[in-house]
Amino acid sequence: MSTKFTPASSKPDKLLTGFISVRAPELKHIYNAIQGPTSVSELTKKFGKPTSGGVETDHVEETVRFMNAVDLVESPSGDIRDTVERINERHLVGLPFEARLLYHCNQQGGRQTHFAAVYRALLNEGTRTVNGDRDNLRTILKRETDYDFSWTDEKIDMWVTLSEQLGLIIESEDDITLSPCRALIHDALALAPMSSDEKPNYDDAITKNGEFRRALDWINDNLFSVYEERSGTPRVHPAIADVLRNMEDDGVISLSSPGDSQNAVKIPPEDLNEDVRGNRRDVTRISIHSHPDETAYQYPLTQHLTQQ
Amino acid sequence: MSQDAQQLSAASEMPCYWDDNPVDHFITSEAHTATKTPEQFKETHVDIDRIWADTLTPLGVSGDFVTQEDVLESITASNLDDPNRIFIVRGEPGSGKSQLCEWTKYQINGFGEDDDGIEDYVALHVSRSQTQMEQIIDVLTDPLDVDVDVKNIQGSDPRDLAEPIAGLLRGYWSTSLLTDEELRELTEERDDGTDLRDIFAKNIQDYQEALESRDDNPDFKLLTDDDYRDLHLKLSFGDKLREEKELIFPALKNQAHEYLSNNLVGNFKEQLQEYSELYQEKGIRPVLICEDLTTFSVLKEQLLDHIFELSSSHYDIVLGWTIGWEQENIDDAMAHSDAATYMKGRSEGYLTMSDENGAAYFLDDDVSVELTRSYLNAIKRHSTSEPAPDDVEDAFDGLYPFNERFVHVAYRQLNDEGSDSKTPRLLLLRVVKHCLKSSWPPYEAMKSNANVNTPTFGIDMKYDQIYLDLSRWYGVPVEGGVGVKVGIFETFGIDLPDSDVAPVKGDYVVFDKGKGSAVLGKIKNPPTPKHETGEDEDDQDGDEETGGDDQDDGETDLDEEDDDVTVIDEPELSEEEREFERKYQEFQDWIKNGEEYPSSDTLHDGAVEVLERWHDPTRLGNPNASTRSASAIYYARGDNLPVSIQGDQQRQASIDIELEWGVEHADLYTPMLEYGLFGLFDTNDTNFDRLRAWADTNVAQFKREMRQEVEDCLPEGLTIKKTLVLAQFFLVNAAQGKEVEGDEIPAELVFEEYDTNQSYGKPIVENFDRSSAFSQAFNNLSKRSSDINDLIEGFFLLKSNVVDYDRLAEARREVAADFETHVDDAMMIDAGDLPDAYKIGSTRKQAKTKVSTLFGYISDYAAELQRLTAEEDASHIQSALKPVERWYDSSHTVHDLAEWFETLYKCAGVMDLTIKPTYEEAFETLTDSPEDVKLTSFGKDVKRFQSMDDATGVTLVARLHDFARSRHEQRAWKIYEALDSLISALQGQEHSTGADLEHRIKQLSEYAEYEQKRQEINNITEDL
Repeated sequence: MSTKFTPASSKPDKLLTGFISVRAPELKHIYNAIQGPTSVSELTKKFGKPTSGGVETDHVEETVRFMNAVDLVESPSGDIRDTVERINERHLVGLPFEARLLYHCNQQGGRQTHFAAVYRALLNEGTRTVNGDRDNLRTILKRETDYDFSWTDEKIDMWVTLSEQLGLIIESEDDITLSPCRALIHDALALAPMSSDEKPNYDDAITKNGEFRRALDWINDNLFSVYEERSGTPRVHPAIADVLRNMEDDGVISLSSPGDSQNAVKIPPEDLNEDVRGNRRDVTRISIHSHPDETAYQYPLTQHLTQQ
Repeated sequence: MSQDAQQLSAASEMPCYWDDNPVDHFITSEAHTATKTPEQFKETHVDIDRIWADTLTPLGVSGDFVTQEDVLESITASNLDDPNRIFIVRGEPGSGKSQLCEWTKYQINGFGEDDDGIEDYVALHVSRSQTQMEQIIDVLTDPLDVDVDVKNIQGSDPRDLAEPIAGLLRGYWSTSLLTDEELRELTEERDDGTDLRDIFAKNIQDYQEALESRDDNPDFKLLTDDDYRDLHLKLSFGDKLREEKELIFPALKNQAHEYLSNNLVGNFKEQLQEYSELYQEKGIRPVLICEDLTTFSVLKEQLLDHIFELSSSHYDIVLGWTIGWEQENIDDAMAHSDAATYMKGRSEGYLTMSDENGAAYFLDDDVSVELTRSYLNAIKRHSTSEPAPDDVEDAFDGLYPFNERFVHVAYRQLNDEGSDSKTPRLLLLRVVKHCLKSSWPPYEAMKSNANVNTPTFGIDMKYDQIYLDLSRWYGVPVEGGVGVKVGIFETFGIDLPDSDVAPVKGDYVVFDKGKGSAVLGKIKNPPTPKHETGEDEDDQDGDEETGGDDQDDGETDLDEEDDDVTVIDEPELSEEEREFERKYQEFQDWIKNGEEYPSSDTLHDGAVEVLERWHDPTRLGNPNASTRSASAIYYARGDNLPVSIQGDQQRQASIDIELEWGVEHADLYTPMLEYGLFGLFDTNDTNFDRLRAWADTNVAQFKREMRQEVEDCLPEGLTIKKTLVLAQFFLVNAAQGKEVEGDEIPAELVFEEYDTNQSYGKPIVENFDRSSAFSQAFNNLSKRSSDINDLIEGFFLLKSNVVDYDRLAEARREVAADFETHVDDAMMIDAGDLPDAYKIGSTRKQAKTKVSTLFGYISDYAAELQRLTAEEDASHIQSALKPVERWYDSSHTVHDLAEWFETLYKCAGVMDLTIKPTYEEAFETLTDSPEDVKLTSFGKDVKRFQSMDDATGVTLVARLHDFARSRHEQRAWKIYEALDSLISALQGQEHSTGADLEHRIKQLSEYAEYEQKRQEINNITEDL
């Protein structure tokens, strides 16, 4: 098994957002249940809801196919309805499922890049929140992306729900807040390479004086967009900046800008009315500490598990 | 920030550059005081240049603002022989009516010395404090050379005054309202207290006493409402008096007043006319100024009656009164229907000094400062104290101990005991005088001033209290923050804050604005929903500087000394904006000091919104379930989430989310407060991650507490999840007789729909009396079967068709592993103390079934279940077993049974025994469909039922099902019953024992028993 990211040997070419009923909780649970080669019937037996007519299997099978499509699993026998096993397990060892799934979604090529493109398109709006009305989102996506399929409500719903459950965004009745959860930001920073001789790895979550720009660039290209403006001195999006600011207030990260360092990233002030040159903070270095064992630093799927 | 500053300020007294006397002299509750000289009046007068004129006919104005000069010009636009011209001036108390009247008087009569006023005019000013009869006549005749003999009410014997009034009424009053007889009765002498003479005398005496004891002019009425009521109760035409009170009462009273004044001063109307003629002869136009009719106690009616008879004389008349007075009193004062409209219609000017909120029109920010300045200057000039050094006055904009900002703020925050009246008088009395007479500096003195609402402060809450207080009164918006002049600190002996937190720039100490100022900004310019990005302002970044020179740390470092700080002007606030400011100020005081927080609903609303924005905070179910249609346990109490504000909205529920006060929470709470004010979050400066972290933490904590509270009614061995699995198992056990087999409860059983209908019937329903305790417990539980089922789905599904395997497997395993203990635990569930708020449903609103009810049912059922015994509750099984046990043997075959039946049939024929249908049925089964008789499994059933003596609980229930099923499925039951019945019937007969029968019977293993029984029967028969 390779430590490099390897696409599944064969996989469905169905659009990721076309898996309209797939949700993060079952992805996480079913993925965890796959230890070694596992028969799909065992999975359906465990996870399918028993009914008078037998066990519901469709949805479990669909979930497995999605995992196959994002290179989390493949079938050793070549038949995805028969047996599956995890792949890329040795890549980014220890990374929590949520960050891993986002990473996998972002490694996809061709038109599957649409999955990562949605968040980037929303960040391009330049605001902390966007109106969650599907027509509005469709307008943004049509404007900001160029794919040969249509952004149906179902696809948008799928992306929003999955991304919310992974902690990338959070939706309220009428808008979508674009700030990722702190757990995701922390894992992203822990994972990102912080120097030229480093590869992404999750082993050591604590970093001292890493190169901030290098880390953000990597996150931007491999996990989720972070910039509002990338050309010149890149500027962090306000929704991301809020989280960094709060984590810094909590002592979970420290951002600095020693005199001689290069490659700064700009962080806008909290009050965007004052977001003008001169009010933006330059950051070149980041230190990451372990995060507190608090609800605010947990992924959404873990937060409210009051017993376990 | 230094501690010393606070101590210093607490100890410091205000340097005082004035005496108390001039303060009292100048700032009085009346514009007109006898002691204030014309010069002093002039000194302190501020032009009243914003007066609303409904009409001001001489200038052709209607519905516009006019100035004091306009008013003067209009009044003095008359000709000598013009009829009466009337100008009405209305306004709140203290809104400047008297000041305007006083000023008009001085303009007309001149300030003395070189100023002779307006030629050919004379002002006759009846001030508020000079409305006694004698005083009025004095004023009227002062410029004339006449000698009027005026008797005053004061000093006269009440009886002497009262007698003639009643006499005149009796003898001279001609009125169409009363008949002669009625008038006679009304005015006759009585000794029951309703004699008009007694009434008048009593009222006169009251008035005299009131005059002695009070400064103000007391109200004077010869006849009060109460007196009138006494009259109508006493007199024979009382009904008429009551019914026509509106007409008769004022007429009677006014007539009495007229007779009184006639008596005292002669005929007042005639006098007014006479004086008018005298003025005309002198070529002088008199301007009669009655600054406040409200205070006229006598002569009011006669005066009004006369002057509104416009052609009766030649005066220019200014009538002042308090807004609203006319509504209640003019009809009473003038014998004219709808007198207010009548008067308005006949006046040359109808002027109003204050707006509907009681704020004086003319007093805006600038005028309030000018007014304060003029009074301060006069006071200081007339004080013997040393004047304030120039640098002090400079620091305070020449208004020491105030500054311009202070006056603006104080005027806006005026609150006359709850009303919003903002008048010059209140500003002078409540603010200027209050502070000048205090030994504390104004920012301290104002703390004890109930008439002025505490203003907000715009600086960051992190600063010491002294700086918050100072800035809220003296701080002006400047570039980069809020500025307070350095001289103000120095004068009051307050240490400057550390320069790294509040640098000195130019004359000012500049404080950081903090979040608060943003809120204040929004109050003036509320945020609007903004999703569509209209105005992208990334233009700032287009030519971003390249590389190394970008070392600016974001803060603008200004040189401390010579930077000029621009003070930014601020517009006036609307009522709503003031209301918002008040709410914000209350929030500031609460968060800073934990003080009372009357408008805490504002913050509460915002907090609730944050909690509900991304969460369903009161829902307890499977947090990973993405379906919301499944059921859950809700905390559903009242309409709102249980959120409390520390110190104000205290905890009402056993669990809740509390907002604690403390400046460290300011950044977090401010957006909540803004939401409470504006109904939305300002996406420009709301750090949503901060709100979310708070919501996440508190919602998770709340749910933990919910779970804790619910699980507190469960014994240690049970959790909500296990209790649900157990309850579901009870249902399936009762409905289908399922038992725990193996080491886990099967998943399909957990999701099994509850259905009691089995092919073999409903043993649980059929075997128990409906009124039995078990039956009732079962009924209760089964009625809640859908709640249990829904909760199972809500707790154990990830979505409608996907099971949360790990979560469920754990519960299935644990319950099965030690099943009986769990049932015993269920008996111990005690939900008596669980609040009713815990309910079951798919949404908070729809949640109806109380969790305590469900738990109670589960517990009752468990108890009844464990009480079941085979002896009591399975006796039907025992009786069914008896005939079988008598004859059954595992070696029997269907063939054996058929043969025996045949033989017995023959015997029966010999004995002439009646063959029952059950025998035939059994025989038919044995011969026609032997394959239906499964003796092997029947044998197992029999064994199982024979060994169930100790069975109880779910096992017993399972046996009941097994038995019903066995009875339904096994034909052997009937066959052995028939066999038993047939044999005993035969034994009861005298029978010949044919060889063949004997032979066959002997083959029966029970033969011996049969023989024995037969012998017994025979013996018994023989004995008979």
